[in-house]
Amino acid sequence: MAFAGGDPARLRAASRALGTLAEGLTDDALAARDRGREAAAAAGDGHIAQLAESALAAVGGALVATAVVVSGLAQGTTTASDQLVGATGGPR
Amino acid sequence: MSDFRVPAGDPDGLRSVVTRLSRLSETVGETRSSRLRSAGQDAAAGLPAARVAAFAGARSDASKATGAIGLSLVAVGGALVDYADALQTAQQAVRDAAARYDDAQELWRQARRMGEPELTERYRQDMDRQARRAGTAQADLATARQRTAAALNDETEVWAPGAGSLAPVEAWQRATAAMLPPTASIDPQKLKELFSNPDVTLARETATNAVKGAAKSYALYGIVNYARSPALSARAEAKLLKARDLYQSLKGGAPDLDDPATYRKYIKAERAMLKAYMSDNPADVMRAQRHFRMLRGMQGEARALANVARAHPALTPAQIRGTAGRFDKLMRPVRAAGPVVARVMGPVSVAVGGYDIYTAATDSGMATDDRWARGVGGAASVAGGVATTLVAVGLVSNPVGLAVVAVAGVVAVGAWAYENREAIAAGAGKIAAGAKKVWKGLFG
Repeated sequence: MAFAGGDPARLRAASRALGTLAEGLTDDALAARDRGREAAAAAGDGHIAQLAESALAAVGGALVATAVVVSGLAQGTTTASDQLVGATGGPR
Repeated sequence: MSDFRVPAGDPDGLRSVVTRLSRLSETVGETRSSRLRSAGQDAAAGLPAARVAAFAGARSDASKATGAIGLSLVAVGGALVDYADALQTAQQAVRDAAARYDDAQELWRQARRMGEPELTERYRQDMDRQARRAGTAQADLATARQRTAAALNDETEVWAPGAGSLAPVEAWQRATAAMLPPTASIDPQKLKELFSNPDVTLARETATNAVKGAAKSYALYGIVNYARSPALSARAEAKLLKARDLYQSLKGGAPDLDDPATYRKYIKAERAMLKAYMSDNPADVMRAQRHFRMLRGMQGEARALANVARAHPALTPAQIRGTAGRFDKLMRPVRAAGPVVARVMGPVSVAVGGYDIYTAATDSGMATDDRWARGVGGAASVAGGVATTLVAVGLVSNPVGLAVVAVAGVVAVGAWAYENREAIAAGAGKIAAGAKKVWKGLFG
């Protein structure tokens, strides 16, 4: 009654999808970091090696932050689902 | 002095990295972006109506963020492949020039021994020519090196401003910190370990724990996207410059537009430039537009525009509204109803939330857990209703304030209460009595 609409089951499914996505983004962050190291090893030039590794480390850091955000979205969606179930007295 | 040293480096190794970066950019920029969009849509469809507005604003920006990261990977790959090509060309040219120089030198020595001045001079000139070729190859590589360094530095600047000259691990830390608000900050030491540790599980736990510390997911999401505007803007500007350069180089070359292939290329470049121009907004314009989109669903076009204009006095109404999207006209009736619905539903949500709190406090026939679930849900509804009403009547218009008031409080209270449900249940009796008094005091 207190919640206008809302679908706990759908929120649970969305939360799982978002959680998986956050894990995938974390893997992507580590992949970007690894590509940076490989590029640095192949560059030959010290300056280019450092810049390539830093650029891909920065992109990797951005991916870590995105993973954190998406993970937060997943957790928030689970919380919203729990609240809906609790408030409406539906099955868990 | 001649420089016949073959430049160090592995062009094929670099190209192999670029191939893998290209796959990564597709994964992040397309696959992840698309999954984020669809999961976000699913979550929005399953949320209670009072929370959809805040969620929807964040959802629309999510794929943009991953798209920007995908583009950044493409840009880094482009810079590396440019350097790989230049490196390979220079290595071949220097090797070739060195071999020819050695041949010419041998012939020059023979000619000199045999007392042939004309041949001696000719081979000496050959030697000079090969030395110049090697020098030119080294200079070309130095130019490519500068170009690549600038491009790589630009990409680092997008995500980690000022980190171009820092160690990679510092760029990694700075990029993460730049995109997260303090409430979700990750311990710098953990981030450092993450950078040096190949353990994927550790990385996943770090991301999850960072959020547990904050528990303000929706607000976090909105604020991060709001804060990310400058980075997205920098990407848009870089795209515009690239598209404009291509367009101007074509136009400056007096293209033969009667040639169908040239005409197609010209039109394509012109469209790309115009498209990039349309999306080229400075950071403050992007923020104002994001702010406007967040408010107009609940305050209506005119009031939202006035509020945003107060926060961004240098911008015109057209800049704040931005380019109308494809579905803008279709959504007008929905937006027109938004402020009315928000004004009505805000107080309704407060009332029914209050009723739930009252029921939870007075219905001793319910299990303790269920009573608390209902009470927490009611509190969330009251908080959401208050926030919706405040926004609808114009008392809250700051985007961060909106996100925090409308959603974070609700989710944070709910998350905390559910995580500590057993402990809370122990104190239920005492607080229930207080709640009854509050309810009676408010509503008689």
